[in-house]
This record gives sequence, C-alpha cells and structure tokens, in this order.
Amino acid sequence: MIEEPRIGVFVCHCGLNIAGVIDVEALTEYAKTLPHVVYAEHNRYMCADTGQNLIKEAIKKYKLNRVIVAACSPRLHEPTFRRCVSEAGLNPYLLEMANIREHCSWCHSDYPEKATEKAKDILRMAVARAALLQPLTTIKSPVTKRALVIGGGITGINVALSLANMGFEVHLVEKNPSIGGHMAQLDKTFPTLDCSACILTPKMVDVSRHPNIKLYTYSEVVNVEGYVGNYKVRILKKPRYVDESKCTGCGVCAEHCPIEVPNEFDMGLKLRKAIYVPFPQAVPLKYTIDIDNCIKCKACERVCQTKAIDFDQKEEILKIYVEAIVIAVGFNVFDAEKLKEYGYGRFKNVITSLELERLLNAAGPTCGHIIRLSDGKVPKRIAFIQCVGSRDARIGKTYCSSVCCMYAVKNAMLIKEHLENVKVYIFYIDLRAYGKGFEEFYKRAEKEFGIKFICGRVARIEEDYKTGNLKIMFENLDEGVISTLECDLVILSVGLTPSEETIRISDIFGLKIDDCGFFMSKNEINPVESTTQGIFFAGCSLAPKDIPDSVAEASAAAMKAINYIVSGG
Amino acid sequence: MKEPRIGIFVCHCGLNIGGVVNVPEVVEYAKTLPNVVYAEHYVYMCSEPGQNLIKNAIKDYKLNRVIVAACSPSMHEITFRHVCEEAGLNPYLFEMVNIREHCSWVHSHWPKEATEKAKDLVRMAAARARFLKPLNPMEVKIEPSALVIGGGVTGLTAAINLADRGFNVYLIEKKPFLGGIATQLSKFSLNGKDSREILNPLMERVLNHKRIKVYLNSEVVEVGGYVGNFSVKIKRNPRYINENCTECGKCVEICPINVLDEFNVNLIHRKAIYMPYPEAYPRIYAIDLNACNKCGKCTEICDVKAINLSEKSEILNFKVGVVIIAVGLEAYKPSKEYSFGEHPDIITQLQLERLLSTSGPTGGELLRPSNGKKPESVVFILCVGSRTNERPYCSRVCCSSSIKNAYEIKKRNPDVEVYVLYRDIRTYGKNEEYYTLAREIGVNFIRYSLDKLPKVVKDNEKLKVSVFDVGLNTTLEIPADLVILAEALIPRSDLSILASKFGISLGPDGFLKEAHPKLKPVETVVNGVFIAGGCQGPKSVSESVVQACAAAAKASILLAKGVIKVEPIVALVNEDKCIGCGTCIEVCPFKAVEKDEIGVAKINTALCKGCGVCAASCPEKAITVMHFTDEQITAQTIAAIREVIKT
Repeated sequence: MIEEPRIGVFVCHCGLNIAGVIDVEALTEYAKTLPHVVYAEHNRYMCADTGQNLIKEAIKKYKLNRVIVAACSPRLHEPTFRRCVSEAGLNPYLLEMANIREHCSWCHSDYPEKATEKAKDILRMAVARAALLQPLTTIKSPVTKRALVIGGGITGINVALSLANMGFEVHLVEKNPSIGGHMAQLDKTFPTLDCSACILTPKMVDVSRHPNIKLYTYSEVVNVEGYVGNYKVRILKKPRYVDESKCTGCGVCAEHCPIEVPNEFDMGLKLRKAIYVPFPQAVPLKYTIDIDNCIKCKACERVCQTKAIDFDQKEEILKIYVEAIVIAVGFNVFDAEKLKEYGYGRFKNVITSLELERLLNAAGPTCGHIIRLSDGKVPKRIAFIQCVGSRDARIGKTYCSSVCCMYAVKNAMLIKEHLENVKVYIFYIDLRAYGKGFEEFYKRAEKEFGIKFICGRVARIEEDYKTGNLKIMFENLDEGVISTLECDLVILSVGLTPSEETIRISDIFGLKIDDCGFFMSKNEINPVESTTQGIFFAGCSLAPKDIPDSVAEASAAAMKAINYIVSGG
Repeated sequence: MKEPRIGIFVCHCGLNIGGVVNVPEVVEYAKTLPNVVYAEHYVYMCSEPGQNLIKNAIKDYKLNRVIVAACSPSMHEITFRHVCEEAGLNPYLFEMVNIREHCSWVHSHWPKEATEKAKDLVRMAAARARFLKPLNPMEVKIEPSALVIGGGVTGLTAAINLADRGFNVYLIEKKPFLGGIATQLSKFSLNGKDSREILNPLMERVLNHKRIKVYLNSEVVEVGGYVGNFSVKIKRNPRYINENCTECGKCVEICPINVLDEFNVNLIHRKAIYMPYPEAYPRIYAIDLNACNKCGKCTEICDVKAINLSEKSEILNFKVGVVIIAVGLEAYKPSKEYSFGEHPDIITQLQLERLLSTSGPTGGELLRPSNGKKPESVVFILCVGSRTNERPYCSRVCCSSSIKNAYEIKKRNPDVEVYVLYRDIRTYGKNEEYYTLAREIGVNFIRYSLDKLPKVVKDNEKLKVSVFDVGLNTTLEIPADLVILAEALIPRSDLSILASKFGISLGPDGFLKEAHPKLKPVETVVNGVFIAGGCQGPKSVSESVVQACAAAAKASILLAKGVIKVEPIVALVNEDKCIGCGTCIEVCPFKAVEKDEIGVAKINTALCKGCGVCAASCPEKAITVMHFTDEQITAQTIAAIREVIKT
C-alpha cells in the first residue's frame, strides 16, 4: 500500500549565506503551495541542534513521512539530516536535500530576485522527487581488521585509502586542523608541472568520505600499550574550542574576530584570524581557535548561529584498538635563520623555497604575482641557492634532501614563465636530477628557458640597505674564480628535516632513529618495515623523497600492514 | 522502431563556452533540426540542477535521445550517461558534443564562426543520434590469481606479497635461475650485507610458498583478454635437468663446451651445463641450449639420471585476473667509449661487482683481469652512456654504486689510489653518507665537464686516464691499473615487444610508461596490468622492493573486488554476409577476432575495444561496431556538409 506523501519543507537561512540573498520567507510560503506539502518553516541554522529538533518535532506533530531540507550541499549535511530523521523514526532515505546555497545563493548573490525564483524551482523539483522516494535499508558489512595511520599528508592519505579500499578499518590521525600536509602548500609539482592542489584535494575528499576511514584532525597519538598485533592507542584530540558536530564552516566567526596573526599555511606571509581554517579546501572544513592568540573577546561565540563555539571545550583522550600502525609523519622545513651568512630573517628579499611556493600560488598572499616582499617591486634578477640546510656538516645535517635541485629548477621555470626579462641563476654543488624525466627537465630549463646554472657554493650574502638588493659572494668552480653577483631576490632552497614528531613518536613506540634523525627501516630488502613487528613507515618519515616515491611507499606500507594483519600478527 | 524524440541541452560552462559561442542562438537552431522536440541551455549542465533539467525534460517531453553540447566526453560522458539511466533512458541513447575543447576554446577569437561551428557540430550529433540504439554493459568476474613476469628481486617480492595476501601467483622467469641482476651485485649498500645473504631467504620463500608456482626458462608468447580475465600463453623452454640433481658437478667437469659466462659479464668462461654461482636458486644445474652440442657426456656421467637431453619445450596457458610486469633492466655495454674492449683492465661497474663478489671469478678479491695482480690505482668514470644526446636520462643509481665500490676498494686496501671522475655526484637522500665516507677515507673526486671528456689511453700495456679537472683548470694524467666505467642502465631489448603484447607503451626513455608519473607510479593505462622495478626505470634494490609491494597492493585491491563492468561498445559480425576472408582477424590490434567452426568471423566481445578497424576493413561490410554503426557515422558525416537531412 503506497501511502499518501506528507511532505515537510525546512528552509535554512544558513546565517546570511542563504538568507542574505534569497527571500526565505517567500520561499517557505511558496513551499506551502506545493503538492503534498503539509508543513513548511524556516530557521537560521537547520543543521544546529535547534534546527534539528524543529524537524524532529514537526515529523511527530504533523505525521510527516517525507522531509525536505533546503540548505547547503548534501555533501555537507545529508548524513546529518538522515540521522536526524532516523532519530524521529523516519527512514533516512525519505529525506531529500535541496541545495539552495552552493547552487543558488552563493553563485547568484548579485541577483536576489532571480535567485529566489531559482530556489523556488529547486524546491519544487525536490518536492516532486520526494513524493516518489521509497524507504531503503543500508547494507552493513562487518570490518574487524584495524590499522592506525599517523600523518595526513599525501603519504598518510594514500596509506589510508589503500588500506580502506582493501576493506580494513583505518584510523587516520593528523596533528594539524586539516589533512593535506606540505603538498597542499605547493603550487606545481616537478617534472610534470601538475597543479599540486588539483591532484591532492580529490584524494583528501576521498578520505573524508570513505566509510572505512575514521579521521582525527587536530589530534596526536600520545600513548600506546599492549603488544605486537594488539595495540591500544591513546589519541589526544586537542581542543578546537569549536564543536565539530555543530560547525558548518560558514565563516561568520572569522569575519568578526578582531585578532589577526600570520597564517602558518602561507609561511606567515598572509594573515589569518585567531579563529580560522588553514586553507579554503581544508578537510574537514571546521574552524579552529588558536587559543594562544585568542583574546577571549567572544565575538565569535556571539555571532555563531549554531552555537558551535565552546570555550569550555577540553582536550579529549580517545582509545582505539589496532593491529598495525603506519607512520607517515612527513618532514619539516629547515629553519634558514640557522645559517647566518645568508641573512634570512634579516634581509627581507631573502626568502625560502616554501615561501616562494606560496607567492607563486594563485591562492597565495600575492595572488600568484612574484614581487619582492620589501617593496612590492617585480624582481629582475633572481638567485636560487641550493643545499641550504642539507649536505652541511657544520649544522649536523649531512644528508641530501633529494628534492631541492628539482624544485628549484621547477620554480625557476615557473618564474621565467611568469615574468618577462627576468634573469634566473641557480647556485649548486651537484645538480641532482636523478629521477624519471628529471635530467630532461633540467636540460630544458637550461636550454629553452635560459636559466643559468652556476657550480659553486655561496659563501655569504650582503644586503644593500637602501635598495634591498642583495650581493651574493660565491666561488665559481667552472671558472675557478671567486665572484659576486648582485640580484634583487634570493631564494634559499631549504632542506627537508625530520618532522618534529619523530622523536616523540619514536619514544612512544620504541623505534630506532638514525644519525640524520629519520626513522630507520629494517633493512634494504624490507624498506618500509620497522624492526618492531606491526609497525611500518612510509614517505619522508624515512628519508627525504619526492611525491612518486612517497606514493609508492604508501602503497607498499599498506600491503605490508595488511599482510601482517591477515597473517595473524 | 519508435520515432526519435531528441532533446538537446547546450551548456554555457560558465564563460568557457558561453563567452565565445552564442549559446541561445545554438539552442534556437537546434530546435529547427528534424526530430528535435526539445532544446534548452544552462550555465553548468553537469551540476545537479543541470542534470535535473535533463531528467525532467526526458520525462516531460518523452525524450528517447539526449544530446548534451558541452565539454569533452572524457570529462562528463559518464556523468550524463548516469543522468539518462536515472531518468529511465538507456545510457547509450546519449550523445555528447564537444563545443568547448573542439570549439570555444580553440576559436576564442572568432565568436561568430565558433557559433556556426557549434551549430554544425550539434547538427551532426542530431543526425547520428537518430540512429543510436540501446545497449547493455557486461559484468565479468575477476579471476582471483595473478601472473608475475620476472623472477628478480622485484618479481619475487611482488609474488610473495600477493601470495601472503591469499591469492594464487604464477611467477615466470626467462632464465633458468631466480634472482635477476641483484644476484650479480656484491652488496646493495655501503657496508651492507652480502647480496646472497639478503636474497637467499627471499628466493627460498618463493620456491616453498604453497600459493606460488614458479616457471623458469619461460617467457610470454601471447596475451589476450582484459582486466580480471587475462589469458596468457607461456613458452617454457627445456632445462634438461630435473630435481634429482645433487649439484655434484661431474657433468660440468666433463662438458667439452666453453662459452663466455654472461653472469660474470664475460670476464670468464663457463661450460654449456652450469650454475651461475654456487648455491643459486633453484639448486639444479641448467643447460644452455645455444651452447650445448648434445654430445651426451653429461647424461652418461650423471649418477642420479637427472639429465634428459630430449626434453621438449611446452606451451602453458594461464588465466589470471592481474599481471605484474617486473622484467627488470640491463646494463649498457659500452661500445667505443673510453677505449672499452681494447684492454682487459677497462671494465664496467657490473664487471667490478663480479670481481668484488665472494661468488665471483676471484672469490671477491679485487684483481686485475690482465695479470691477476692487485691494482695500485683505480679510476672510476661516471655517466658512461647516460646524460648524452643519444640517451639523455640519468641512470639514478650509478653514483651511489660507484662510490659504494670506491669506498669498499679503499677500505680493503688503504694503499690503493682511488679516483672518481664525475659530472655531478648524485648520492641523493641518505646516500649522501656514501660520498662523505668516501672522501674521508681518501677517495679522490675529480669533476669533468661534458665538453672535455676524459680519455683512456693505452701506453704499451699500461693504462692512463687523462682528465681536465674543472676545479684545478688543469689536465691530470692518472696512471690506472683498473678503469671502471659506470655504465648506464638501459631498458631490456625485448621490452617494447612485451609492452605491445599487453597494449602498454614505453616512455621517451624506453622504459615502461606508468599511468600517471606522480600519483600512479606502478599502474599502467591498461586496467589490471601493473609495472614495478627496473622495467619502469633505473632504481635501487630498495626502491624496486617498494614498487613491488606497491604493485601487489594495487593488484590486491582489484583481485579482492571479484567483479568488474565492461562497456558494450564492441563489434558484431553479420554471419550471413561474412565470406570468411580473414581480413578482420589480420587487422585487429587486440586479437579479438577468430574464425568459428564454420569459418565465419567471430568477435570475442570481452576483448574487443570497439576501435572499428575490422568494420572499416571488411570488404563485405559484414561487421558493425555497436554505437558507431555505418548508419550513424554516415548520417553524421553528411550532416557536416549539408544543411539538414530530411529523414
């Protein structure tokens, strides 16, 4: 017997995100005129507790058997509302979401009347569909094999996806508010010149949506107990002071926050508020309060419509049981201030390679324009200095960071593409273009792009205080002379150092660290396994390496972890 | 047949199309075309509201053909096929027209002409759409087994990981022994363990693993099938010796044939019956068919009757779900570079590895091939055959290997003078330590440049290396007892044939090409075929092991799925018209056509990729390609040159 549809329509204001453009009152009234609609109302934040309670009560009171929520994208809150109607006794598949934010108010913000008409169309379509929705049951399959992945950069993401795709339960822990790691900060990658974010963000979204992956961000592993194959891990969830279950990522809080601080994601070259998301494609898209810089004015709390701000939030300790652990904590960037002779930190026009990546990036502090930070002028002569913080016994960093030669060549090419009449020099000791396509890329840079490669270590840099220009003193090994070069922008190709997490993690798990400070794998024939059974490594945790090598190691570590688990540990 | 009712949906794609092409004009034009009952435009057809527009129109106007004029099909054909499906229309009654990559993006400076071209493209699509037919995809099971081609360290590792995961693995190896090029190396790392100590446990595990079947002396003859269902034909050449072999060695003593020993890189000779090094895997001797004269002396003297010279080769057929190609690489043999071949003491790095190996011709003692004495001066020349015009790529591992060996030589004999002549020292990552240790132990490093190559000169029986030291700006003359050329690592000569059997290609460097250089280093464009190790590019043993595990991981995901969907765009033979000429069989690049019992062509729809070469070649026009019929294509072509076709 097919019952008569009794549809309830709930229109969300989403603060001003929707209501600032669309006439939500008119929309709600329109809804009431549609076939089968027996109840319609609107609310500031439907996804908040208050909004959800409205829906639940209406379901009971008006005996609704279909629910439509006209709000943001289903990608954000379809699961939320499905759960909500379930709790009210309605089958979750009798819910229909109508996107009047991303598909309406956000893209037609200049045409409020037309947007309202469109919202009505969208609503009418949703109502038409909802009338025909049928109840469905989810299919459950048991997952009993569990793994922990520490680190949510490109490596950790690939480990997690490999494990999850093989049917295993994955707990992915990331210390920053968002996954993505350093790859999210890069502009383009060598030698293909792929846009880094374009190839990374779909994987980030895959992680957030994968049913087998549980993601813990702004969290750290603090303790492990148990024995091989049977680990009890304690995860510390740092307080965001924002309730993740309520935060909709709307950004109203940040608009009202009076505090501005340098954004770590942009290497401090751009500002963020004390309440922030690190970058727009962050996963999860939830705000975090940087409590150290917060002045507790509580402006955010006052404006947050879902009451997601919670200054009383405490850190949480979560316990999970896993059978295998993969460590993918990545790297840190060498602090160039340690090399006083290069003047980093004193000379404004001496910057690091990662700062340059942010300048090159269209979403970065200068919208992709390469300009000097001292005066905003376009540089005419740019010098790259290799091996800053690598291959240097004086500072105890004797290893090679593997990727700096290639990223310098890549950035030099991008600069040449961006700017006309710019001269680019790369000062190197050995040009390490060792990988697939690397040497060809290097030769192209030299021959087609006219980038000048000078073999010789740079001894020191001096600044002309008036112009901000820099004088580089170097030994030209090809010509056997000591020379100087004046340029207006210097980029230090800083090395990849072990992540600051390495020592802490090695203490917790009792793992070996080598002289360079990286984790040690078992041996050359077991490159991703640790000497402790059940614990594996991948990516830059082991040694600096590029993205293809990290991705291969991620899959390799996943394979090893799974075989370890299925073999019974 | 029902009268076609075509709906045309033109996308603005924001300004990508709409900024050049006059989209409303194209829509109005579309409405004038025969059988078009509905046409409209929208800013983003692929968005949810855009998709809903299509779905609603299908219902409201009872459309039975849908055309979307938008971006490239490679972007959204699948998206819109799903939309049709969801609206109850067979997804193959959908046609996509590219008015972005093929129109607005390339003619952005000529909006008027671009609009006319867009109209032409839409008219062509409508002409074709009239003749589209509904089709259904096929679901195929995935065979839960894997074929690993190559029994070196990469193939062995891939096989073990898949087998441990629970899948059956067939491992084939061209040579009679396992281990590949890694068995020729003395050590894999500086101060590392002997290579055999590391490899032996791996080879033991493979030979004893209950889920791995090893076929030696075997190579791929033919490949058919597709992901989940590969049928691979293997030729297994005879070994002539069976497991009774006790390695007593009597056969080797009595064998009258001497040939160059390729395992020891031609430094010494071996017999036609041989084992490359003591205790190789498997522990059974082998007979080199090219060298053997079938005299039968070995058969007579063998106490355990292990030898049978009449053993024949056999053909084996495997059905597997996935294939991992791990065939490795080769060491370049210098031709005239640095006088190689003119003096026995000018050797390659691989030859040096044999001299340093405990399993080698000198038991691991470094002795000059010319007189068996210890060298007092050793010169390495790096980048031999790499980073040249003929071979632009870098061989990645030679810097680390050479320096590892230079250090080893100096460590054993501190009195020996060791020189390394280089262009760039590429000891990347943690291998930088090799370079530091080598310098500390007293190895001399001399930088040379490409325009002033070093010269190796014979001075009576002595050798001299003259090199222009860029740093000192002087030419140095180094007396050398031993000159080691760090040769390039090159793709196998049979790689391109193997690649074409699987339908994968080689990169510009001649190694196998991966699906995406950054995010898919071990996958290929052919679903179900994976690559790993040296055949993908030069790399170290560790890096090969990593890729082997990665390929096994990717393969496992597929094998564990169990089922996969295949597109129905395939060829179909009209048996009444077929005259059995066999032209289609000859021209098919995927070997998807056979003659059936009565001599008529039969298409294996699972193998067929719908390329259409057979249909185009058939003299009797007996073959049709589903979704690309002659009728459809002809209509589309005629529409291109004529205004409107009246049906």
